[in-house]
Amino acid sequence: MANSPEFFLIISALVFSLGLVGMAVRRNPLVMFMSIELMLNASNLAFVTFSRFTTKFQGFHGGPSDGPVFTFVVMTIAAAEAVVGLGIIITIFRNKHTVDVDSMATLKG
Amino acid sequence: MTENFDPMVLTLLLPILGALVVGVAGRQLGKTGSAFVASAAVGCSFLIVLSTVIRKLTGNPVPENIKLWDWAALPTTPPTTISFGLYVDSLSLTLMSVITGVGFLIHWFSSEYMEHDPDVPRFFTLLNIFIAAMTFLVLADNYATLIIGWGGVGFASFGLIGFWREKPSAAAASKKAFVMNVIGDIGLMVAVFALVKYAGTVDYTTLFKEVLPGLTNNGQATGWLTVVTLGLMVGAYAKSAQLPLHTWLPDAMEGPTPVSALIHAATMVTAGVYLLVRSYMFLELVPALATAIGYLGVVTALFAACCAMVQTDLKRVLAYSTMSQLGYMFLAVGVGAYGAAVFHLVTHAFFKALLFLTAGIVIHAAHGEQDMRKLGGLGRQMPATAVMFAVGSLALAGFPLTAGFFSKEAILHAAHHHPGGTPLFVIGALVAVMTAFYTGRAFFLTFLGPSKIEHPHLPGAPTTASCAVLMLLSLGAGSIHPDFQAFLDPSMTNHAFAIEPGATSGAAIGLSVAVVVAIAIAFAMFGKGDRDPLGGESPPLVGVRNGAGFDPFYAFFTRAFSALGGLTARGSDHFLQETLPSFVGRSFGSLSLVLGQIHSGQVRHYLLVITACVTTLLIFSLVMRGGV
Repeated sequence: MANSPEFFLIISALVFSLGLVGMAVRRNPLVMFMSIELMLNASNLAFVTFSRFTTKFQGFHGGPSDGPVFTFVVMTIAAAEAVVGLGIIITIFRNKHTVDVDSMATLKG
Repeated sequence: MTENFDPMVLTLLLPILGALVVGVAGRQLGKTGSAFVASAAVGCSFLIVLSTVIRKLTGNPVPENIKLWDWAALPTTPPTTISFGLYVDSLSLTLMSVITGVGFLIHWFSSEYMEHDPDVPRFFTLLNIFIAAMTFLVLADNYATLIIGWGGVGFASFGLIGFWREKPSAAAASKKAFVMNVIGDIGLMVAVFALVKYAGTVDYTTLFKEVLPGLTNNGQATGWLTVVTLGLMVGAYAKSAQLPLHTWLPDAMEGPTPVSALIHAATMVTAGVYLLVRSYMFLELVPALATAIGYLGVVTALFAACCAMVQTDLKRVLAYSTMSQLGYMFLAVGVGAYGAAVFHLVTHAFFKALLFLTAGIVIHAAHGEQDMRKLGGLGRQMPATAVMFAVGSLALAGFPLTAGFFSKEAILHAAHHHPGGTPLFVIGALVAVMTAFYTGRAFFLTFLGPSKIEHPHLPGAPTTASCAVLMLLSLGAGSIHPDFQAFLDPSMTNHAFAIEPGATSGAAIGLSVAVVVAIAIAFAMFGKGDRDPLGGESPPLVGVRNGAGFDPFYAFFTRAFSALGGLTARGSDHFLQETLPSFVGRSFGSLSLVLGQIHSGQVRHYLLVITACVTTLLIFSLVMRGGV
């Protein structure tokens, strides 16, 4: 079971859905951030799974596939995003004294 | 290129330099400095011209053609070029003496006359531009570069008529003058195009020494010669305010008085005469047009004299008299008396500049009043001005032994001896009598009778001195007549002048008597200075005073065009520039209002939409691949 890619892909899909639902139902931006991290890591899991279990997608120059490389890219982006996002959250809190996401709807049409 | 630098180049460069200096640094120079720099530039030009005249008189009088550089190539076979050069002969030197000489006196006059104007540097810049353009007009050595000067004087005239730009009437007059002059420019350009196409050159020397003499020997007047001559005529008629392109000249009196003196009496309006005299060989080849010029000239003279008789504005009397005297010059050109035409041009420049400048003094003295019915008795208050105006009037009237007498008599004499010139002579003589009458009227109404102006403003030294010089010239210039003819002859290579000094002829005596009688009649009618039967307001008088219907006639065209303009402005322009763009703008605005409703600003809504869309796309692509 642990040798089949379906197992890992199902776990990845479950984790991703968990993040998506968390994102949709929670109003605390910090929890939403954690949900985003869940979704990013679910995609990381999918990347390494495909890299491990398939030979169809070769990397450049005929080497192993590039999946693991993308996990590092995703992790870097996640870190940068956390920095910027937390900065934004702090600024919003200073200005509005609340971090409730539903109250931030000034961009509505 | 000449190896030696000819000083005549300086006469062109100095006014340009003056205009640049005053134009750029006028504010720093101040009023006095601007006037000084501009006057000095023209004065130095005059000295150079004078030295060249003396050189010609004492030495070789052959025309000189100073080639400076090639300006443009002409696509003719064999290829020729339009050179940028100066043509120095006795004709252009005569004109140059008048332009720079009278021009200098008027600059000097203006330095005092304009001193209370806030915009003195602009005034002197334009005056210098005018002198430079006029200089180039008469010195150009071909018809193509002549247009540069021709257009330049048109521009300077436009700027100076509208010098008091805050006055709507001045702005309108400057526009009118410009449009009329452009009609002339078009005529001149047509002539140049025809010359390039058919003669293959526009150069004076080549045309007059090679091309045209060849045609004369053939005895065949070809069609293109008529086109060229007609084009030159249109140009000359517009610039010299001859019927029917004259309407701008009376209105040009909206400009400052020194401008009227310099441009619209002494120099610019004579450019047409210069052009025709310069092109006399064309006229000889197309005699029908020469006759037409003679008749139109005398009709213009008569028409303008009629208008002048009933004017109430002092400056407009002078404007119409200018037109009338220009008619004499065209009459002289028409009968082939080119020397007499140029001689009258010179004397006219002296006495008309004098008249305008003294009229300027009068207008200043009367605190801006130009209506002769409201002037009067100034002779006792300002005797020196009265004497100078009287001398100018006598010269204009052709009083015996003044400069105007000799030149006018020469023209009438030539008309009398021209085959078929009897009608020209009769009308010309009639106009001479009328001229004496209306100048007498203007003088008497202004200077005699009861004083109507309290505390007149008396002129200062520069204005009086410059007028005095012009007065001496108006009195004495007639004496150079025989020598003048000899001086001018080398310019007329193929034309035999047969004009003897005619001061002793019967016509001269008759003219003298008629002039004296006309002045006496004017004195009897207006000598008391308090009664003006011709200044009334009855419809015929007002009609002639306002130019006898030419203005409404031209206004018909301008109205037609402005109606067309109004139609497009209200119709297509309004739709294209207002209705259509605002419709486009409004429709996008309302569309975005609708689309904006989608945005709730809630992150979860966006997330759900994105998820739904991505999921749908995923399922869709799987189904399409036949998977699942």
